[in-house]
Amino acid sequence: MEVPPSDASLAARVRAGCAPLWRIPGGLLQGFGAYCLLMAEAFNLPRDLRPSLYARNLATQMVQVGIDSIPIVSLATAFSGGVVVVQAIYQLENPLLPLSIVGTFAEQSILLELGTLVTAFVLCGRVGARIAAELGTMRVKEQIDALEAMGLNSRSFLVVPRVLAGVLMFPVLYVVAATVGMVMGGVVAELSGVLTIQTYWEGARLFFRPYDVFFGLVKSLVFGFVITSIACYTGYNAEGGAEGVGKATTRAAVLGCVWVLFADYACAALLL
Amino acid sequence: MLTNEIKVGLAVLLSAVVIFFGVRFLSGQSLFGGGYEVVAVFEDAQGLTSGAIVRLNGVRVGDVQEVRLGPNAREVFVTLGIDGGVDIPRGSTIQTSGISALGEVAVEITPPSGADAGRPLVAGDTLRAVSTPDIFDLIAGESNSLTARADTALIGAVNTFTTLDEILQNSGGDIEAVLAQLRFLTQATVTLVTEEQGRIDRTLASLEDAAANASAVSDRVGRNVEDLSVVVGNDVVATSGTVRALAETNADSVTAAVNNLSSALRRADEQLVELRALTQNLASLSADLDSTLNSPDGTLGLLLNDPSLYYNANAAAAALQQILQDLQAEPGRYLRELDGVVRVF
Amino acid sequence: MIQIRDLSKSFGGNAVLRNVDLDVPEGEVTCVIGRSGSGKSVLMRHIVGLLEPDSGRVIVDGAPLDELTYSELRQVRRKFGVLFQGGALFDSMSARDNVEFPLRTFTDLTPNEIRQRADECLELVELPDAGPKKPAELSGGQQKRVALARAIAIEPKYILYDEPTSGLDPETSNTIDELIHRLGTTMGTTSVVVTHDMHSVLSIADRIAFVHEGTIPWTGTVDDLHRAESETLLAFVRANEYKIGVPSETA
Repeated sequence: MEVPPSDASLAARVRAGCAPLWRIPGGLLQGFGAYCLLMAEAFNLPRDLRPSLYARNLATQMVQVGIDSIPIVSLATAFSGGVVVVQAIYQLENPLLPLSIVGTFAEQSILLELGTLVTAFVLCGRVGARIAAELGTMRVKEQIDALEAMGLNSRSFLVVPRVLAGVLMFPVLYVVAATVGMVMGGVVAELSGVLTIQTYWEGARLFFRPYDVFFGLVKSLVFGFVITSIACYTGYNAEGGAEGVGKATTRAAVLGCVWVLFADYACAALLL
Repeated sequence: MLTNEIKVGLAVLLSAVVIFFGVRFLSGQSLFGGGYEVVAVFEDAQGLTSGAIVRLNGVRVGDVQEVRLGPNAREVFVTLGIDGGVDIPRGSTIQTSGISALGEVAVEITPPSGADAGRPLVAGDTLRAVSTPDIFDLIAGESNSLTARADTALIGAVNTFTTLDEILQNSGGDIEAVLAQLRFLTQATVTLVTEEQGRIDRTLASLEDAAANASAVSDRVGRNVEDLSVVVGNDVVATSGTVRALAETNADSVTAAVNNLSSALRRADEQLVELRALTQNLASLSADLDSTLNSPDGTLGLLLNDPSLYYNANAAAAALQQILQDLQAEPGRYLRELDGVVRVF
Repeated sequence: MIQIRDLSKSFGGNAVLRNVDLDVPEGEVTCVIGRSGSGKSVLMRHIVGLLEPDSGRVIVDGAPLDELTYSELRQVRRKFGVLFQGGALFDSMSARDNVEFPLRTFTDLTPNEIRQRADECLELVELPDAGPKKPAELSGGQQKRVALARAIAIEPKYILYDEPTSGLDPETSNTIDELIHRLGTTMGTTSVVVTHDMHSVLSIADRIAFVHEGTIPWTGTVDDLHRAESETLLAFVRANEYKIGVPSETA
């Protein structure tokens, strides 16, 4: 082994000492950059692509991302709608406040926040993990290489339909979530015996702005992009067999949730 | 067969439909159209917002669609979405109700009283709203009418004193003479009166009896003089002496009556002073209410929970008015007593 | 014509290929042989540009891959059919859809023609009934054969085989070998076969390239093989001979 010259040892030691400090932000930046590049390359659509082929692919993905998620999204938002109303009754039962405020409270929380966020979290697990596992398996079983070797742009071919499906179907799922959540809230309100469903709807209508729905739709669209694109990124870059696929799947779910929260804040800050 | 394309298309279409009807439903438009819009012009919207409920005789018939200020901010134009199938009679009054601080301001429509309501309103019609103050304004308004009542009381007082003055002026020398006499008698008996304060009421009650007796005796005397002028002359003298003695004896009561009158006058004077103070209080109360209404951290609740303030003011004004009304209605109440005295002499 | 010039590649400081030169003449079957981990598969991936060399270049029909844009590279790749080691069939599609996939993606054939061609290809790999099955329902050997059917479906100019006969029974191996040989002779397809199965090599190879520790110390024909003196090559060949008995004289 060569012994480094003594005058360089300080700089070398500083560099070596700093390396662990740099590893985490450096790794994050590296990952973020790779993610951006993947998206840029994927959406730089090949000119020779066959729309019919992509459309078929897109339809398949839209069913898998959207239609197949309707039951779980309905279940999750039905419960969160009910919980919102129960808590609203508990917190807002006050002789000075009109009972219809429960409906107002439910409308505001479900349309603005829960409808999108609960849906997004559920779909991080259902859609994000599925996409990551699928692409990760394709990666480790050389199927992505096979696509590339055929002369296909595998990024566009795999990423675009999935992300597009997310962007197009998440608003649909938001509508499902908001509807189910609001209706379930009304049912719970009626069952509570404290207020009637009419009072609930009256309250919901009192401060309703169509912009709330627009905001929810935009947010769900953003979440759809965030969740599917992150899942595509982790899945597409999976390596190391079954373990790598597992890691990619976990990362898709965790990163998806975290970035959904960031995106939620960004949307609120920019659009409200 | 349900291909993927059909499933997706169906889902997207359905959600578009749900958005359309959901937004219409939540923003209070009737789901399938058929409703119509009328415009109500308010001077003050009282915190009305779009989405607020419109009631006809207390029944929900629609929602507020839009609230916007008119030109120069003189008026507020409120667009009301009325459900289809609901007729609002022409000539209905429209006003806001509820308290904006508690978040529930609604629009109340009341049909005109009387059977003939006329043809109903149609889309695009405009209603001019009756300006109804909300509950805080009602309190403020009440204090205004309180001031008004105090005013009438004052006017009444002035009238009373004018009448009193006229009566005194018109009775001319008689009164003056009586008053001179009274002054004399007063001076003569002032000590006695102050000492005999306890007996005043009883004496006062017997005053009229005494006066009536005196009158009857005088009549009898007149007749006796005609019939038995000489024979009963001594008697007459004796009777006159009795009468005089009677009058002398009753001088206390006359003095008391005069005293009564003067104390009544003094009391009226005091009431006037109190009235002035009360009016000032009321003015400051109004100012307080105004500032309370306008101040963001106002103690509205305190005011609401303290009706005694209002009632006290009201009762004071009412009592004062009662006194002055009495004076006005019977300005000669005490003069009647004087009249008895006059007739004695 | 595929030319590999002075190609080096390392992964994480571990040199896998060092200054490799190789010519693949058209219309011939070139077998790349060597021990596992010698860098055969890495070499093959470089040929279709799935890996970028650290230095050196790959030239396909006169086009140096490193100078091409991504879309030009994809055009070049369409001249290739690649049979991956594990088959790399798309799990979500049936065997037939896998075979039809390149046809649908890259040709203008009618649906009918596509179906016919897919049937033909499945026939060639002796799996005429596998069409409706999903890859998971097929054995490893069957998957590999469906993958081969997919690789040859668009009749590419070059076909790269990564261990085409590994994991197959000897009979099926012979079928695959015959197929590779036939494609070369009847359709003028240029084949690169990465394998360590000397039995296959002896029956199909026109040229042999021996990869050893990241270099190609020896290239030649089957006949040359018997005259070769390289110790490492002979050791590799003998290990196979021992397994398959006597070396075949008829190539």
